[in-house]
Amino acid sequence: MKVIKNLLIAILVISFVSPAFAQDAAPQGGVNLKVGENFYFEGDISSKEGGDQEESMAEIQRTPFYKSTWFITAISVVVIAGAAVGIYYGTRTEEPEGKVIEW
Amino acid sequence: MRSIFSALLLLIVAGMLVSCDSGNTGDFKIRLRLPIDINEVCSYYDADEPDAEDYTYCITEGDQILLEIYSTPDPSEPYVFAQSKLISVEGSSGGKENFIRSLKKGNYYRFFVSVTNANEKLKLTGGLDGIYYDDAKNYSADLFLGATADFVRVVKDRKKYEDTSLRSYFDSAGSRGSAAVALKSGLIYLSGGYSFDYEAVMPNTTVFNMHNLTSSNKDKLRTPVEYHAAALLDDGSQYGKAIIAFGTGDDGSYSSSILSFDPENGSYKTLGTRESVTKAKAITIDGKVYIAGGCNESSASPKIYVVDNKTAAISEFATMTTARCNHAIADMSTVDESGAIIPRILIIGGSSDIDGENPIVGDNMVELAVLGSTKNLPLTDRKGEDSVDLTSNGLVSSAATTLKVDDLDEIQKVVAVVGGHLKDGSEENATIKASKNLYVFSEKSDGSGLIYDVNSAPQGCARPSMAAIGTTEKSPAQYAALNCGTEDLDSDTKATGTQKIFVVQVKRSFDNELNMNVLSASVKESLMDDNRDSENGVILDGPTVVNDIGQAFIFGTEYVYLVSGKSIPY
Repeated sequence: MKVIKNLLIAILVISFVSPAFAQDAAPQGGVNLKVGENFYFEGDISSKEGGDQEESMAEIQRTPFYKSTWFITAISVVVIAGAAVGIYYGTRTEEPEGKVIEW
Repeated sequence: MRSIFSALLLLIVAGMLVSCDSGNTGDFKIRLRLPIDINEVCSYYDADEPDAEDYTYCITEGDQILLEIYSTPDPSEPYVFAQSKLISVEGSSGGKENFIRSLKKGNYYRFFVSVTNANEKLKLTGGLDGIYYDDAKNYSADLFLGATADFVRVVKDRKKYEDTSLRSYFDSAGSRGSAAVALKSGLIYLSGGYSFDYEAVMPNTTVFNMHNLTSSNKDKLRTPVEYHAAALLDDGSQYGKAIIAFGTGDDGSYSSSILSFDPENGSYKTLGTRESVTKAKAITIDGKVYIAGGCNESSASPKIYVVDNKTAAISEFATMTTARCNHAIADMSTVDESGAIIPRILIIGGSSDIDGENPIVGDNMVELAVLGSTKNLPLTDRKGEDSVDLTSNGLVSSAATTLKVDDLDEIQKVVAVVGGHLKDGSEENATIKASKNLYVFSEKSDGSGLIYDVNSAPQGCARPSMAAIGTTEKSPAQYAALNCGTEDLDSDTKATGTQKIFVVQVKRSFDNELNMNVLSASVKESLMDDNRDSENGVILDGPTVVNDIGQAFIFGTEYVYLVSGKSIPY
């Protein structure tokens, strides 16, 4: 019973965390446009040198840190570990102890 | 959307599991509570130096905890031994052990715990009974362990003892003339008595619950009284009733009431009225309550009443040869061939007046009451004399208790008689002094009289109370908790300084001069400095009671003290 309960609670926690991870995953290798959306570059590309043009493109395509894989993985690990510890200690006093003598 | 539904579903299931879990399955937790460790020696225990300090108040590595479990389906029936569990203590900072696989639903349980050290010295004991078990509930109970054959203050949490000491309604100075009863199933009753703080006779009633180490105020006495008689009426209910009789009111009047206190509803019921007297004595024999004697300003009562434990009816049991109050009584009952208990009550000393100035002396000093009659019992020492002038001086306000000496094949009932005061010297130079003698009365084999053995105590106890504590079968000695109170004869002013609690030890020993076995009595020194609780005020005339588990409770000023027996009486 204890194992099933903890497992279900762990799944519950993961189910809250995992949708955000799946839907907001950072795009890999460029910018994806949905149908009907336009994408504009600001500034005059032709007036810049070749090196400057590449740098500008890199800035626009960089993924925000909070959407990065490493950040989400770290946060997920912390949340799951925290939830597990919380569940363990939170439910420990309510677990069946049997007939015990304590001193 | 689907994931939200999934999460909600899981949340509901998890919630159901948690809620089911918290209400489950009759878990039972016994928390052992230990005496105050003022010097905190328990926390400095070193297994390499187990004798560096006195660790009586500690449970330390190498100790063994023995839990005995008894049960009964009906609290009016005797408990029967069910199981025991021996636990070896591995560390000195607490522990937890499963003590039994299951308890039976609907049964009442009694637990008795004894702790021995590595040298097999029994150092702590405690017990609880009347614990009803229902496997649909979770239970927890505090089980306070006291020092064996010694006194300790009852506390729930030794580390916060100032806040968690079990307290009565007395403050710094009492509890003269209060009355206590050890009810069944872990309840202790206390009522009345004089408070030097309020300068009044108290109407209060308090019941102490040893299951959770708490006290609660109950209905007040209909009129405040002190010096009332009290004893347990075992009517077969879980807690029994406290019977309260007579007493002195705050205005100096005398009560004629015999009351029954029901701990279930915390209220009193008048069972009847008789003479208006005070300083009577009450005792429980075979569940019934016997109330003997009493005085008012002009006369003494010779009556012994009995309150029936089935009907609560009051009837006359016997009429004493000599009317008296300020006496002591003891149970000398026997058992007939069918196993029925034949009540026999020993009446010892006392006076024909309230103030104790006219002691009962000579052949009248001691009498034995049986149903419908009484007879004087001659009292002598082993040589057939009265070497300490006991019967010629008399003994007023002494304490007496019955002890079962069973070190030989035949069990012998004897009566320890301690303290009290007496007139000493010739009539014109007579002084009243507190008795320092410890007497053991035993019946002559032909029933023609009593023999006393006498020893001396380190101090007198002017108006003590006493109760026998539990000992093991075939014990070489028997013990009684003695609330010595004070040596001071004046009970009208606030005494200081000499209040003591002792444990009296009685054992058979060989007397070379007499060339025979005698019963010698002595007082056992306490671990408490000077045999007193230095943090308490004045203990004056406080009562001592003993419960079914053989543990004695002593009432001082504001605190409750426990003298733990060595085992459950058998």
